[in-house]
Amino acid sequence: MLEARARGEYLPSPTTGKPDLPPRQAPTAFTFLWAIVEGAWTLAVGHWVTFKNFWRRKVTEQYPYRNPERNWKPRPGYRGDFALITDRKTGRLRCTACMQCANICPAGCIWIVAEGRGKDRHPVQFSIDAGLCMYCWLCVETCPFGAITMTPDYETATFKPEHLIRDIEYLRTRGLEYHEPLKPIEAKAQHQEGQAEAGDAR
Amino acid sequence: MSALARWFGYLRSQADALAERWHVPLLVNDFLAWLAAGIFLLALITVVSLAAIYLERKISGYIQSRLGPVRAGPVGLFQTVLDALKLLQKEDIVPAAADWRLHLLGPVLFLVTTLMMFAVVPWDRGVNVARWLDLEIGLLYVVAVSGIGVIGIVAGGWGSNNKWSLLGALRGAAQLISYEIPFLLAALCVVLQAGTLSLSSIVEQQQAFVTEWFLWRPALWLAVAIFIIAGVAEVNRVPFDIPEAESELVAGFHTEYTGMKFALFFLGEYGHLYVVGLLFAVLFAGGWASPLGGSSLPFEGFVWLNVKAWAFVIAAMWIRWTLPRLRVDQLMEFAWKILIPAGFLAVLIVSLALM
Repeated sequence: MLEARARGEYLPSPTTGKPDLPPRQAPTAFTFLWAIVEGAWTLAVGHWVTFKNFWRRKVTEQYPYRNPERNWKPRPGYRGDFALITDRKTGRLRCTACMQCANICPAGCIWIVAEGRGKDRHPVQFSIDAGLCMYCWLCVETCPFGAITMTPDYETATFKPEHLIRDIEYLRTRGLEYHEPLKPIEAKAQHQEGQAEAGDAR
Repeated sequence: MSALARWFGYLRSQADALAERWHVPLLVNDFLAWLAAGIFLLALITVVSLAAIYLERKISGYIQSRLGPVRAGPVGLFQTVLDALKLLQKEDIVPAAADWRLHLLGPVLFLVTTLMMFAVVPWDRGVNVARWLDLEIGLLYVVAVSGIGVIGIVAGGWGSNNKWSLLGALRGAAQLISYEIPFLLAALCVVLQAGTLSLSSIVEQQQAFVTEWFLWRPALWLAVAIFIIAGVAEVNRVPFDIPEAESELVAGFHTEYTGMKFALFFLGEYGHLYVVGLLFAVLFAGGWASPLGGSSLPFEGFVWLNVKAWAFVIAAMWIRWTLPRLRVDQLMEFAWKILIPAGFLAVLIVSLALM
């Protein structure tokens, strides 16, 4: 098909049935000059657009040096640093060292040393290497107790790679700051409580 | 005599008096004066390049709705200085199979020819790098020297032992020699109008009053347009930056350059842009002539010349961040089939207008 086109025959295109190149017209002096004028006009319009944009508001966010009062927190569910959740009723970590998260982690960055049997089972050492982690959320999904989660905190850079390994105390402290989302049945009850209070206030 | 010229004359006379007292032969004195002039030009090109790179980054940022450098110094003013210092402490890597002599020659030649172009620019009334470089053939000298700069690019491309560099260098050489012709033709129009090749005489014919500038003569408008286009093409700037082609040939002919040699290429390129701006100011906009009347303040002529040259530089940056890049064949077609006939037409128009 390329050879036919090179020979000057414009074959009909298979989709439209028409030759897919326009028939050439010899340029007249007028069309030549008009093309120059049109071209120069489009160039000028482009320059006017960039000139206008020069004076517009810039979209750069100078984090964190400007707008410190701005909420730089991402949405909940953001996969930031890790936390081990403390159960509010018992005061102990929810984690029972069942090794589900350690087994499912694709990067193998969770190490757990467990102690006790039955209801007393708890982790003695629980380390996550945040440098190895790929933040895939599988450990959170698979935990049967909802003991491990990821917080929306992303400012976790360190100067040494060893400092990226989160040990159990660090994770426990993070878990205490973390507000876990409610179970659906608790959320419904709390919502109804709130509605009742609002009704009383009116 | 401008204040600047009087100041240089005073320095020179003091140096001559000292030389007499210390029985130093006048040749040494001449040599020292040359040395001082050379140091002045080197300092100027460094400052100019730093300023041009900073302006480029800020202007490109503002056009693209972002801020550009802001952290280093107020409004990011020290950014280029810090970048230059960073480049200085980088290791100088020469590819193992490359010709190190050519690899070294490339940026050196490129920068030296750009520096040579600074020498004939009239900075103020009576000032031409300490007053005795007023070449009668100033314009011819400038165009000839910019032709030599092409060799620097080719040497850099061949001496890098890299296909991309070589392609970029050859395209660059082709582009530069192609666009020198309309550049020279546009300058020729000014020569016809002014009747002399000497740059300071051309400026003196566009004296004092704004309406006498060649920019406002309708016969020269085609020449102005051609000069701007060919000037931007001479400096390898978008839309004519195929030799560098930041997104196509890796970095074109300066791919294999690190540290100081890379800095030299950059200095040369932005210095060349500034020189073309100076030439535009000298040829068309009255050089050191102030648009408000006679110059009375010291250094006023120098300041006005810089204002006009930097206006051209900023316009070139505006063009760069607006237009897309031309393909190589479009580039060559534009030069040979459109600009050169237009250049001849411009010469014809000026000749007819002068009859």
